[in-house]
Amino acid sequence: MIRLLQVASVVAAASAAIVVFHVKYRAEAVAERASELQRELDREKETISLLEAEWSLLIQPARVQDLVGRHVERLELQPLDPKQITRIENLPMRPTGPAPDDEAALSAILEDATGEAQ
Amino acid sequence: MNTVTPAPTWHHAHAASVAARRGEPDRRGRWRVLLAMAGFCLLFGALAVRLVSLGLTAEAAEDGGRNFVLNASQARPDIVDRNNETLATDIKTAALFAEPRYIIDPDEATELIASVLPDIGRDALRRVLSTDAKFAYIRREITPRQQQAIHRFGIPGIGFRIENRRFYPGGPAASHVLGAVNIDNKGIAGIEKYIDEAFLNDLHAAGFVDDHTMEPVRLSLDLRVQHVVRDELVQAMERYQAIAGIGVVVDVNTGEVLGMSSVPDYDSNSREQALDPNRMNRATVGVYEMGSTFKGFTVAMALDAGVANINDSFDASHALSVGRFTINDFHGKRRWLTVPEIFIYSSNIGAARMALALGNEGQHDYFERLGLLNTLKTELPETGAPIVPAMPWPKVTTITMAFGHGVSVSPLQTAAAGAALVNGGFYMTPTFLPRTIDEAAAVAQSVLRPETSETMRNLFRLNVLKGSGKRAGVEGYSVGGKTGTAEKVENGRYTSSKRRNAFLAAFPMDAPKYLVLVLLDEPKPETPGRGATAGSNTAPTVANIIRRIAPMLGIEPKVVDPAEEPALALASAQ
Repeated sequence: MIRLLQVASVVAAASAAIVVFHVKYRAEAVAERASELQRELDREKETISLLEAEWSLLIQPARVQDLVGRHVERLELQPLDPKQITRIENLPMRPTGPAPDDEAALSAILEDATGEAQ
Repeated sequence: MNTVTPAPTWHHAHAASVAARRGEPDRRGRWRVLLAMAGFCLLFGALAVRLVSLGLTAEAAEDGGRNFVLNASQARPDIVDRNNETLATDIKTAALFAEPRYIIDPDEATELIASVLPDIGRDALRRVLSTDAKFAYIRREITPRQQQAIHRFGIPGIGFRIENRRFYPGGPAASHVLGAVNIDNKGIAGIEKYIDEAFLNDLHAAGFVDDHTMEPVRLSLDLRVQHVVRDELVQAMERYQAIAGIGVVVDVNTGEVLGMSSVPDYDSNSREQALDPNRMNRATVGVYEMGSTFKGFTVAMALDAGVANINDSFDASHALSVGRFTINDFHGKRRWLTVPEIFIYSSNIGAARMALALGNEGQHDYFERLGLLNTLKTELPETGAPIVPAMPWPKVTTITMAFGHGVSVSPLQTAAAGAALVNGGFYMTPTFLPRTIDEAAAVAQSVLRPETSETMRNLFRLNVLKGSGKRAGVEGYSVGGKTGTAEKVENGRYTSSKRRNAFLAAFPMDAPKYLVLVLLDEPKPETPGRGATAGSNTAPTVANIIRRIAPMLGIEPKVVDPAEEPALALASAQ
């Protein structure tokens, strides 16, 4: 009985040790992975902020103005004139053509007129 | 225990003890055993505790690597404009450092480093590396390529610190507002310094600063407006051969500064340029005699105090003599002038007579209320104190101050006072941080009656329609403004050959939203023989600025100008 207990406790101790070390190594691996991810995250954030800086460099009004000035023949861009801004309701209505019946009548008259002239 | 005799067991010891002391059976032996057990428990317990603590701390110690990369902590928040466009940001650079006490062969290390950084002083470097010091910078802000090359050498005792370096994508675009940082990323000027003093130093001290967690600092500046102001100033400086140009755009209803530029300026990314005194921030640090621009203030205070009425006339038929001074008009009409005429013909005599009617006490009061006598306090640490004569100032000072001589103020100060003339009479300290209408109402001080402000709006508009500011007109935007041509002082005397011109404008005049102030220092005539007055150089510069920024700021151009009729009514009301 006592022997059995002894064997059991030795086995238990050994397996506990194995399990504990296993858990510890796994935890270490996870921690390693976490810090690796963290580093990657930092790197990505760094890249993002670098790209943002570059983007704001690229869209600087001074730079855009310079580019437009340099390629003015191709782009044909001009500074906006206040006269070009208005409200939609201030625009005159699009001129509409004559109704189809009227158009036929008009062209008939026109043909007559040209025919007579010849 | 390498003897062959078996170790005494508990039973043996017990038996021996019993045998030795027959009188007190068991007691003493039991105590001894308990003591031994306790001792062993303590020993193994201590071992276990140590084991656990080692297990817990081991990971932290191995992270990073001691002398390879250290993260520097001088992170700064980004600075963005009112539309969240980046004005300043941190980028990471590497700084090369050495721990000389760990360097095994200083000569070899020196040669290797010098092969990558050829311009480094070898002797000095060798001397530094041969010492027993703990830490020494070798070179800061090295390029990634150089970092890689040095890293490959694997020299012991040499490492890199990742440092934040401030980067301004706009370069010179907003340099005077943003200021500058030193190599340790500490703000030394402008908004950067303000940020440090307002909160960043405290955050760093408390250790709360992390690289990416800081909220960006939003300014009231609009990068587009800022660019336009600077661009037009640079062009104007070239066109009129001026030695300096200053431009300010302020929201008259909140006091927010949307754009402020002073050229020549510097590239914020280049620390050396910032130290050149010729590139200083003239818009807040420089104080100047504003010249006739001040007639706007004089007319406003005379009308507001009730000593003059808009229909009153003042005698400008002959020069005004006070003591040994004689005040004359630049474009003399040689007759009595009404108040609108005094304003649009920019009559020194007329303005002087209006100021005399008000008296020096009243003039002082109004100047004080308009913030022209005290140092302007904004977020920018750099600010110039106005040069003001001591009270009670004599009659002649009252007269000269009426047309902007004998008192020097900063352009931003003038802009803030000018805003009060047109916005209904409210003075607000200008700010570089966003401010809502409600916040503005809390800090605004009523300095003029609303009716006075309305009259001033009409006078400003009239001056652009009929007076000296004609060339400031922009069709559709109802610009109103006042010219100012001040003679510069040279060797203690005013000289008519060197001028400082100003134009103070606001738009749209029926309900002003923005104020534009432009100053040009010593502009020359555009073509020889033509004048170089404010109306011929600063006024068109203001027009150019307004033509470009008004659409950006969402102001609708109007075919019919609602401010035109009341303005013209003033002129014909005599």
